[in-house]
Amino acid sequence: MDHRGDAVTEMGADEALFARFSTRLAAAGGIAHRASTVEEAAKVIAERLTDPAGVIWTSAQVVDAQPDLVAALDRRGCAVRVAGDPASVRDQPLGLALARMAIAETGSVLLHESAIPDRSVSLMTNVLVAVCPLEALRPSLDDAAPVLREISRAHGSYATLVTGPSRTADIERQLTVGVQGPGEMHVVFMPAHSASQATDV
Amino acid sequence: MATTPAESLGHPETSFDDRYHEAVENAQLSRNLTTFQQSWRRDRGVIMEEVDFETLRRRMKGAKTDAIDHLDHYLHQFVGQVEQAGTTVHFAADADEATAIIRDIARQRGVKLVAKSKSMVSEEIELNEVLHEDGVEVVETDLGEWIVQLRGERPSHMVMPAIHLARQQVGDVFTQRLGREISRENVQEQVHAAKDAIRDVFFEAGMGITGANALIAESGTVMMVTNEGNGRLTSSIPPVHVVLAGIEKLVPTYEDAITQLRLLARSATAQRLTVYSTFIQGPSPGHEMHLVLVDNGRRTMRELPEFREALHCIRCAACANVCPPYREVGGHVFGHIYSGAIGLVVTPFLHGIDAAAGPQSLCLSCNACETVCPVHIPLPRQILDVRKMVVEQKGMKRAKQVILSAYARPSVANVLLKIGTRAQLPVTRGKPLIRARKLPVLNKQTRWRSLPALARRPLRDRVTTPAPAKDATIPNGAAGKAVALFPGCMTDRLYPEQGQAIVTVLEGLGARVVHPSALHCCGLIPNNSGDVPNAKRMALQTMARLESVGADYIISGSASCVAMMAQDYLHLFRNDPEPLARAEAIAAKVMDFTSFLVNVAQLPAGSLTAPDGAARTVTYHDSCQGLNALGLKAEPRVLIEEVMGDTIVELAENTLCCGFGGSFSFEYPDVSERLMNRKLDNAQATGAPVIVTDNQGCIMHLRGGIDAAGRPMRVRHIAELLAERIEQREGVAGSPPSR
Repeated sequence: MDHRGDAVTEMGADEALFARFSTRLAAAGGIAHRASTVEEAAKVIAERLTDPAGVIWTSAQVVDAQPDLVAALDRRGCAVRVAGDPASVRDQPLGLALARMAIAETGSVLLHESAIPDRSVSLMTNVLVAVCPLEALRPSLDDAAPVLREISRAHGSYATLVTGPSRTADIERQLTVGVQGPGEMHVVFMPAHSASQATDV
Repeated sequence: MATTPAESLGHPETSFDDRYHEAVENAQLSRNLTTFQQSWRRDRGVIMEEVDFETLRRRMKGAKTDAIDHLDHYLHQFVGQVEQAGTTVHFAADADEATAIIRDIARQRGVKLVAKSKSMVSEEIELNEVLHEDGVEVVETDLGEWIVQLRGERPSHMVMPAIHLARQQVGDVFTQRLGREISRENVQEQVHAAKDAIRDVFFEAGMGITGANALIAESGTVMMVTNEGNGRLTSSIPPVHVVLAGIEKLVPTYEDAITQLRLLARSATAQRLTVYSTFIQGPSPGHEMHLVLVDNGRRTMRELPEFREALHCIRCAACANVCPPYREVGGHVFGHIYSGAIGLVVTPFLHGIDAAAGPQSLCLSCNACETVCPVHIPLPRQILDVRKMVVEQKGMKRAKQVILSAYARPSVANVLLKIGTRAQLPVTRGKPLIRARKLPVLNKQTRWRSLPALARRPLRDRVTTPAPAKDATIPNGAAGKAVALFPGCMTDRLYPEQGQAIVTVLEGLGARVVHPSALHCCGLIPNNSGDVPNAKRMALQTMARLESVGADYIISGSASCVAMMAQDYLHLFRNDPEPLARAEAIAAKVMDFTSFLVNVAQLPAGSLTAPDGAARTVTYHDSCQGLNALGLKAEPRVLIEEVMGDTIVELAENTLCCGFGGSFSFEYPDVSERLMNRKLDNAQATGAPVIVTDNQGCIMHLRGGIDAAGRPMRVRHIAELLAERIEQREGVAGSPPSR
């Protein structure tokens, strides 16, 4: 469908899509980053740690899909640990999740986290960083429908389109971020083909 | 708990009349809701600009129509998929069955604490009360729901449950219930205090209960959206997850669900997308999931063609966010459990006619709700159908029924109006307005607005025979057309000069104007009062009179009458084939005065400018029937700015009703007065000395308010402005003015 309101840029398709994603995520209160190398991605993520000795909580999904990133974080001296149940990471400072795809139209990422431990960091941590292969950035929310359909072939799935940090406007319609979900949301786009498993989106 | 004026508003046992009176005496409520509606309207306008709202809502309506028309097919498909994913499905015919199912699940698993995410169905079936009686504590985890739970209230809004409250009230209840001082001013502090207080519940609860925004049939997926993240925690952490949903929540495909997301976020909270749009298919590994599908009156609605479309609702509450009476009294009064326009429609089916009777009477038929509904439900028409049910089952106030029945008989009405014209003289002393502050009765209804005097000679006595066709003053497409004038009863009896102005314009354009004899009210008055027999009677009278003259067009300068004849007649006679065919023929010819001049006469730009070239400055009041029912936005502006070359300073909040609403202004004078004063304040702020409009009800209401308060403004019908210019042209051309 036609989504008006965005200037057509002369940038490459990837750059234009990233620019739109970035604008739209910013409108929702989140921050987009584009890493040209795995090292750069690791740097962006590590910078989110207020305590350099702190732990970066993550999921088995990330470890499986982005082993190079985990190794790069490790080289930077970050303690990367895989979360157990949600209680194990309750109100922890930083979590790292894997996005199955990203949607430029809305600045959203799709988290496909059917197992509860995979979901723990995106549920519980104060700052959430979702990593997404750049090739999984798509223009439109319509692009999510076939991916969701594919996900549901498993007959048992849990997926969420996340658009920015948790928020409320329940009191006098005044916006406040950070309620029961993460209060800060980052999306880091990984260089093309950084993932160990090809994403089929 | 401290007692505030709003305190018993949200309590289910408080009667409608008591809730209404509490609400109108609570000035803070109206202030809170005014701020809310204004900011929502502004933000929604911005976020809707990026999409084609009409295309999207047509698509969504198509998907929901498919789902509801083939309900059992999609239910079967959905349930098959859900069960394959390992979810236990329960069907509940009514509220008792639904609550019993959930109570039993809780009992069997020894659940003592439940974390609950927002679910309007749980409010509908009063689940918390049932679980509480069974010794189970339920904690609402959505901030707004938690606030109203702490206050012992119901949500006053489907999306923003505590929007009726100011931050100070929130701070007070938090301080009281949390046992420590919480700021009355700092919303962020309040939010974080609530977060901390609720957070343990997710881990301690034996059961999480959520609602569903959609049930996706193709895959058996529950779609649920929240901004706070509480829905994800509720559905992930407690070992048992119960989803509570009405059967109407089905959508066929993921594509439909995506369309719903686009519309829901924009319509509900003016966001592009809600922060968490979650798709749950089956229990998480190691957990248990139940789905309780609730009928509770929905299948009854589905069998009624008048109400079936209400099942398309996606619960965005946009209808409440533009509703003028909602702004003044809030959702505890404008609704029962479901609030806003859709609440008035579904309440008789979910909670019975007694619960619906009071709230439905607060609708002033401004049609604003339909313009923003993301599934294009005909809400104003459905509310009138609820009103008709209420009148049929519970009757009408005796005095109102007597007046309507007398008015429905032209001969009786004629005699009464003639008597009235003489009898009013000692009060009016020949003036056009009655300073009603001096009336001994109806003081509450009239102290804030003067009432119009009956015209000494109604229009019917002034324009009896058609004048010979004149040469057109300016070249235009109306020349030579036969036009029947339907003045409307208010024009006829109160404002004949406005009817004459229309005649002057039409004749000046070379149209042959015919005046059907003995026209009376089109039937709008009884129709809006839920009085079907008298509405039909008056509609049939009107149709017969209009059929008696051959005309190319039937023109009226009253947008309300046009909407009645062109739209409501078709619904009124939907089950009567013979009058329906006649109504269709009438509807094809009926047109409002401004549309006729713009689309048929096609008056050229600059053709009716002032002879001295001086542009007037005016403001334009969009009547609700003109703007919302007939979609007239450009037409009057083309006439004023392009054809006459005058300047319009636009009114702030031009989509907000002036508060007239016919008998509404007598039944709910407090609300009517406030809406009128808001309109007049906005008009006065434009600095324009003249308010121009196209509807006699608004004219009567606004003139009355201006006179009573001595405001320096005038209200004129657009035809009067045009007629002056036509007469000036005719004068310049050397022919005498027509009258």
